[in-house]
Amino acid sequence: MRDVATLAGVSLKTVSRVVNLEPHTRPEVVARVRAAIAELEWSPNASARTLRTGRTGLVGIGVAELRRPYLATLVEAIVAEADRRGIPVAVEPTHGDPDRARSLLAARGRVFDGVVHIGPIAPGVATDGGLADRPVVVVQGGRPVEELDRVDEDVVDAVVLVARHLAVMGRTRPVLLGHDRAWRRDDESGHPSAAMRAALSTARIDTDGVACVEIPGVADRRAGARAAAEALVRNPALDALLCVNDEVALGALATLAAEGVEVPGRVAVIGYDNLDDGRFATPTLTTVDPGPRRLARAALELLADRLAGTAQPEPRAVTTGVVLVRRESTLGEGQR
Amino acid sequence: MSRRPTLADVGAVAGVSAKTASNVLLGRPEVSPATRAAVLAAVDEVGYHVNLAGRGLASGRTGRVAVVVPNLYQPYFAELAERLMLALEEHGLTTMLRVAHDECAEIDAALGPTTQDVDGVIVCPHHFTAEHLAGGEPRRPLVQLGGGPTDAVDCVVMGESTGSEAMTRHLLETGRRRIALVWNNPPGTAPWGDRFEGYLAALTAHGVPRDDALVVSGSDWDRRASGYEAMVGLLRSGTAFDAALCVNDAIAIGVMRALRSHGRRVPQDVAVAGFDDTDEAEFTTPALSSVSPEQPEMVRAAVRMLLERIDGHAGPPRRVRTGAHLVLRASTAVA
Repeated sequence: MRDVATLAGVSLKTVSRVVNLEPHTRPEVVARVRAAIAELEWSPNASARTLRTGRTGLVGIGVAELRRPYLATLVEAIVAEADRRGIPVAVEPTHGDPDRARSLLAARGRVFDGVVHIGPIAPGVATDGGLADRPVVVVQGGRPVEELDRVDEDVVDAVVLVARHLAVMGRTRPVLLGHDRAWRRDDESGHPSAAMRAALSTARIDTDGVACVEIPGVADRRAGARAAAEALVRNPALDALLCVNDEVALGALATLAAEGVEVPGRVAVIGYDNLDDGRFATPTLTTVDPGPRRLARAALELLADRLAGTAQPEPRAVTTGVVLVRRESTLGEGQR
Repeated sequence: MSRRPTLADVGAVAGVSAKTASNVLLGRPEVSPATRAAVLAAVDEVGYHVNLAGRGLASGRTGRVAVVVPNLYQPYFAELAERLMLALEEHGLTTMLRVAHDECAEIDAALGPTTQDVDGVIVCPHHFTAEHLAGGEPRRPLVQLGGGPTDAVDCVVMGESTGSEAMTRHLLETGRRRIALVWNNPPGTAPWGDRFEGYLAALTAHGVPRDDALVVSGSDWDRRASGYEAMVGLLRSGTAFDAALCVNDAIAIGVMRALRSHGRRVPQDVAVAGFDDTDEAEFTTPALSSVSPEQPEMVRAAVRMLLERIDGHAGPPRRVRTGAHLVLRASTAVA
């Protein structure tokens, strides 16, 4: 940098201002500094700064995709919390591709100081240093996850709240659209999770007849519309649809409206995620709020501790609370 | 080199006027393909596009581009950001996504310190205007995608006027006469902009008088709740209306809900139309008619211009206008 300053005939401070794109430098000075930089092939880039400080100052957020509105909401909450803490973040979509996840996590130490990863990390993707100098925090990764710091909302409490709400309102023949959110890899596919079965039993709902319409691929509105149609054919007597997320529930509402099935008169519908859309749907959608702000706050707290070197060596798990948001799709109209 | 080549030099070599050369570089449509080819060849020949200062920084490339959006809660911006990331990736570039919640954050992200170590910036603005450049040029490649076009930078201009004119015409042709606008001007100010001009043009063509009592807006212009509150205001005013053209889908969804809650049927009593054709429009009850702004085309144009700037193109700011088409669903069916 000193050579650049000498060649351009300016101070070190001026070179730094040009490199850092700060205002108030005359255009001809900027041109001279840039010419000097080019001539000396000096590289004013992130890696130089990384060498000097050992930090890039940047945190990466890994997320499957932004077109899922809940993921966009959670990313926005994490970005807002990072801004509040003065941490710049970059968002990297992984599209569920292990290679993309791999390159994101391998960029720790070069591009990113650490990574907040939304959703489970694919098996075989290295997370070395994730509890030390190159931290990784997994948000809503479910269990079991790798030995990493993690934040999840209380999915078991969520299914308990949903089952009780159904029972209180006299619904006894629910069908699941997609696996419930407490479902884990060791649960039986095409059936409610162990946690959901326990919750339904406690609410005195017979669990043997509870079917699950599986949703392969992206659980969006279109998939929800299709799954609801299938559920009506397979279980004409169903009186509630428990949906894996709000998008599926909103798609289901469209199918039910098109088929003239009264909601909640004949079928109650419950989503998950508390998307803003649900407040404006017809009818408005009962849902579980997983608390993206709480998740974001907890995740950055864990990450900041790691970056500051103040965290314990063992992995930490934070469980945040959920809220059942009761609206017209289970309560009926007039509840706005 | 004695001096930097000018547009006049380009024109002289291509055998056209400087103005025509400029039209080509601005991406204006009224130029014949032959002329365009001649001008682009001349640009290469005289080295008009070579930005010496820009080339000097080439060694400092990071392979990273910043994308600046005002929020992600509005599906339009989440979709746009996702499309931009994928398109940039096709060119081997990674994306640093910045969510800029207010004017300061947006300007810092577009022009300044919060997006260092990037080769260029694509800003999808809420606030950015030429004033923020204070008559200067951005210090690194910058492309604006959507929003009111800014003179000093490359802009992709959404088919706002075309789109809202077509939707207004559709409403008029299906028998609606009192078309309310649920709009984005701060309450108490007059509406403006391309979408508003499109609306007025269609009214004029049909001989329907403009009535400013039909223009309402909420506390902001991108949340469903704002559409809801604006519609409550319109209903309470007692102004008669039989259609609502909304500045975007999020607003339209709030509007539909407010109408339903107040006993107005969509589309029998009131037709409702949105703008953006987001994923949710197809699944609302009733399904929402909307203007689709050709996002893939917008994204392609923005990425192309940014790559050219990163490669040293130093021509004057360009403006690419993209199209729009109607996606008609039940919310605007004939009453």
